[in-house]
Amino acid sequence: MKFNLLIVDDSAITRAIIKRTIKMAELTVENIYEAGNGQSGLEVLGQASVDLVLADLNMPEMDGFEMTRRMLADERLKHIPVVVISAEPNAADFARDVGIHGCLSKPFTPEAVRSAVLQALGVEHV
Amino acid sequence: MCKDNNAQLLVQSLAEALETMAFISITPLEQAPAQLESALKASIRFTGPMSRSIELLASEDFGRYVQGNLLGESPGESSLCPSGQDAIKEIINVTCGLILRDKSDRASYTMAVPRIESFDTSGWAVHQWELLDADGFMLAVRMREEQ
Repeated sequence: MKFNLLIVDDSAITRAIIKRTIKMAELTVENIYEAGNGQSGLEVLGQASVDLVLADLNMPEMDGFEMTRRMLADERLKHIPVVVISAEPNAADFARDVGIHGCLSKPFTPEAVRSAVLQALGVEHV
Repeated sequence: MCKDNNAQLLVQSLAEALETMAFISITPLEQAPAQLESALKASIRFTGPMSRSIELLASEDFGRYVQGNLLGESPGESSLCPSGQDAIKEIINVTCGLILRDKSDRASYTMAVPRIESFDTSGWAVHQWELLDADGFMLAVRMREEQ
């Protein structure tokens, strides 16, 4: 199974680190889309077919919480799982409160990324 | 939490961030340099039951070295951020998160966005910093009480 991934983070280097880690985790990704904040992420979601979103929480213009709230309120987007990737110590608590599907704490390993992606997609392997 | 515990926690957290993300090991620097060459100062503030600023001094060369390791590239090869400043900001961001993660009241803490700026080396007070060797690069770190 190949899947399409959207990475939403305001740091270009963090997006690059996540992409590299996805490769190291041997996940078979068809397309990787990128966005620098929640608003741009929603615009990508409106145009492309995305199976999973990996999102930072603290971003300018629109943060990861607001982006997720809008996704959950949108019939076309609410089925797409969101995994938060953050260094914030309380990210997992916030993620649960908002209804986000998973949380990856920085620093993360390829194994942790693989596990979180598979769990969010509800599959055993991709 | 006393000053020594804070310093120890800071060094442990920085070591974990560098080791896990960039495969870089740090050790205490045995001998302080007489003078600090030009450096960048990365800082991040956290607020909550205990409010502090974490500061890290490092060279641009170290930033490029970290970025190379983070992305699996040769230092300076990436066009993302030629100065390596973003890599240093990411390291201090993760270090701050690690410091706060084990606290029982972690939900009460907020992290600010990391900043980076040139550091004026003329008034450098070496005794205020923890000095470290990171794969041959000198680093200096400290945790300061918020004013």
